Amino acid sequence: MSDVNSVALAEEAVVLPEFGAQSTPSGTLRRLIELIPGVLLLAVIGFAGKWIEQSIAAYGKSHHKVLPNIEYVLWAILIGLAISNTIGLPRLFRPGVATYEFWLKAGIVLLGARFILGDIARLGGISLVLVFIELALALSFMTWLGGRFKLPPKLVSLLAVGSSVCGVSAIIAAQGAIDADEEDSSYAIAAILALGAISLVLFPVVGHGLHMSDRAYGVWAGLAVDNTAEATAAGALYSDAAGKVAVLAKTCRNAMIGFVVLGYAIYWASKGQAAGVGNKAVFLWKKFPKFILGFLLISALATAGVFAKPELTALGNLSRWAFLLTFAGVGLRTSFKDLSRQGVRPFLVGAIGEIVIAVLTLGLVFGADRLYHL
Amino acid sequence: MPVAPKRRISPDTWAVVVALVFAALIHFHLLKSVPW
Repeated sequence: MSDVNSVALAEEAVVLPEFGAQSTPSGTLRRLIELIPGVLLLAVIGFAGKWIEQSIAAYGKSHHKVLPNIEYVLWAILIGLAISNTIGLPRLFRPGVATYEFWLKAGIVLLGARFILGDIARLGGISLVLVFIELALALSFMTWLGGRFKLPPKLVSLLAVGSSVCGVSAIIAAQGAIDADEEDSSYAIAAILALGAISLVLFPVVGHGLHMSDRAYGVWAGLAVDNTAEATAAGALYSDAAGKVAVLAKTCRNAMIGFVVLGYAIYWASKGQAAGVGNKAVFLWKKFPKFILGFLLISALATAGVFAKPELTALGNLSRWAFLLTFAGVGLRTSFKDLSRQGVRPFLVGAIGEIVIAVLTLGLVFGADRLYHL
Repeated sequence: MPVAPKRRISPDTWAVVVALVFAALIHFHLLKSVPW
């Protein structure tokens, strides 16, 4: 594993909650106890973000001043960033902080209650068409760009997968499937995470500058911001409604992870540089993000009227609390010093690629908005 | 004799299980309300 904190955290996030083969009940209990300090830290930071937002609003109201409304999302991320980039994240908290991705997925499943299936079919259908176009454009452009910068071919594959599909999870899934070096995957993850942090600042600014509707902005954030946590945060920074749509569009993109990784695995196996793929259906099922099924199930239950209105509100609020922990984790696992150690060329390829993809997807979203009135 | 490893439960599946448990708690009024 890389010595880079942020990358290590991102990788831990995927493996940590797996209570695996040799775990004993006492081992599982010990691992659960180890999670407590970090999860508490996520909760404290998230709650502090919420408290700051409410305090500023209350101050403005009582003093009859119009103060800018800075969402709790940004405060939680900023507090996390301040900690990870000054004192650093103490080892004690790392296992718990690495659960931020778990909370993200639980939050997405619960968010299903805020969508009726008809909405998912319509917006998801439009998003899926855009995702196919985005995938084709992003994969070919990143492959071409990586070649121009003479990056190692497997690093190019990882960057292409990361920027076209779903960031860190996709890179880790692809690393195993194409037998890429750990160093290459650390480079690719660092580039994607650094660019994700930058997009958190830039996307809302561009969205407001272009007076985008909540839905159009949400689709754009979901299509163009790579890592699911950052896409969710970029959406929520714009508005609650945009956050919902960003999650839906990003989920459509995440659903493609298996197909893209399978394509790369077959490509590298045909070159004799990766193990062959056995049963393709089993491969696709293994790589398919299962939380999407949970999201659809909750949405189906909500559409069928299983939940009363107060229950839907409670489920929506629970989803917000789960996202709150995620946003605190996004800040805590981003260390600019560590990210800057990863070398300039992969970052440059990632940055140029991301800018081009962001502009292309913006064009796609404006086109879709005109045609289908998102 | 080697022992076959137990099946791992992925983080994705855990997230779905935990979310569904909370949805059930809310639906059956074991969790009355969630303030924001």
